[in-house]
Amino acid sequence: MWIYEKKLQYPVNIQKPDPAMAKLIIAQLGGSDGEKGASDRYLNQRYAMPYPEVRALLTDIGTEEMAHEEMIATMVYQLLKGCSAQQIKAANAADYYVDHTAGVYPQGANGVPYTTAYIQSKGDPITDLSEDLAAEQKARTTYENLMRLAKDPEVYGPLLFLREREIVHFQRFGEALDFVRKDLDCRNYYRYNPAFDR
Amino acid sequence: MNKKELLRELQELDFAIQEAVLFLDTHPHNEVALSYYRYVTGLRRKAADEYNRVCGPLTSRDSRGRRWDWVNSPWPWEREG
Amino acid sequence: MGNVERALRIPRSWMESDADFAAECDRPHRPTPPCRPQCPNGSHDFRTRFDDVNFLEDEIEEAVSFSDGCGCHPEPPVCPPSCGCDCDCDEEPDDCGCDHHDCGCPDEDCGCGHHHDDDCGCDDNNEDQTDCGCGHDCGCQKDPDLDEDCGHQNDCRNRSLAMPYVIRQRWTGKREIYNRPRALLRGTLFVELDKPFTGKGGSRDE
Repeated sequence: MWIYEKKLQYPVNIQKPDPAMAKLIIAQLGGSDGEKGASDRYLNQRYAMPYPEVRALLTDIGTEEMAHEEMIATMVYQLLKGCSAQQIKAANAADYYVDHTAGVYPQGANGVPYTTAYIQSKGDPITDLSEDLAAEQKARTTYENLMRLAKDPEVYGPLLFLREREIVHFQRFGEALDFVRKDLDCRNYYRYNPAFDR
Repeated sequence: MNKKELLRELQELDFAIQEAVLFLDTHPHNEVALSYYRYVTGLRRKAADEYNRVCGPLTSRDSRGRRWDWVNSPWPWEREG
Repeated sequence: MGNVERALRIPRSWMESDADFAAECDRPHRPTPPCRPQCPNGSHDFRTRFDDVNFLEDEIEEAVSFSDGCGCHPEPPVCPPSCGCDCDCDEEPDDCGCDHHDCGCPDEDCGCGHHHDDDCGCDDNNEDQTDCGCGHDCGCQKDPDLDEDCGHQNDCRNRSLAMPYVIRQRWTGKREIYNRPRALLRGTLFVELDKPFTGKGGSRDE
């Protein structure tokens, strides 16, 4: 189960509102390569994963991704806070404001709401971990795209942190594949699905 | 330490712990990692106690005293983390 | 980009500028902390290093110069020499395989037995090769974590087609971690996992 700690993993303290930036950053909450997808993906993949070390890793990284969701939501909240409707409209964020005011609604930068269709939980350890490796890279690229546009150091700092976390997670998922492979036949790792066959 | 410093100290410790945890998940027998984990979790225990005492409950299970202070502001998105 | 980071005073990564990148090998690599000249006999207390505020600065400089910034085939080897394990992706079986008695793995013979068993004692059952997952190679251990240096996966001989591999990170107790405040701001505890982004504005700006 989960217990909540009343603190962010990394501090977010944005003083200067920026609705345009909010609309972009929300991609990392509700977009195809965002933290919500990451969290759903890993936490759902862990049930069918036969290896305890990998189960633990999926649980621990999945939980950390929930903390990242909170950071992104906080950034969106702070970037919208204190703006008038006119200011939001001037920043081309009126479409978001109309449906969500200054609230947080997980969607992509293109306005498409979050969907589980963004993730896969295939029930095959090699497949799932390969999906996870790709997911971390997609998230990294997205953060880099955002970092190019971030002028405010209070926005840049959390993005830098979150981007680096993707790289570390990629490393761990790569190491996790060793645990999957060690019990399989190295002449043919695809002989069967260890989560389902035998 | 003031409240801000206590929060920061706890964030730093928890982050170090998280890094050690992920490393240990894929290197369960690494003695360096295990030693580091024991070290920082020891520090964390003290820091969390201090935080709860001075700043208020970190989790809904940490509320002490007679008032239900768990609901109090500031919540993390209202302040610096 | 650099200005933004400095405004927030995020401490530098161990590779500060583009010039640092240019100075490295042009091979894909990872920065490698230098290996210790001796394997330790007993354990030593490295906890005292972790809180040292100055731990980072000079350690990093030394690590950078020692390793030349190159990593994939480090000279000298990253594993302690007594392991006898080479972390190279050489074809030569000079790694911790069945033939080396100085490999320093817990089992003198790396669990292979004193003779050249095809399945390296990966399993008590010498007949069923699929048990050990070793195929016909020596030097495999069942638990990748117990075989860190000798390379369940770091040894290229044990790799297969149609499989992705990520090199296992090592944590040997020296020079590998940031102090805690820096770690939080850089997004990782581990120096060699700190891979900064220097793309600036994009689309080949300037």
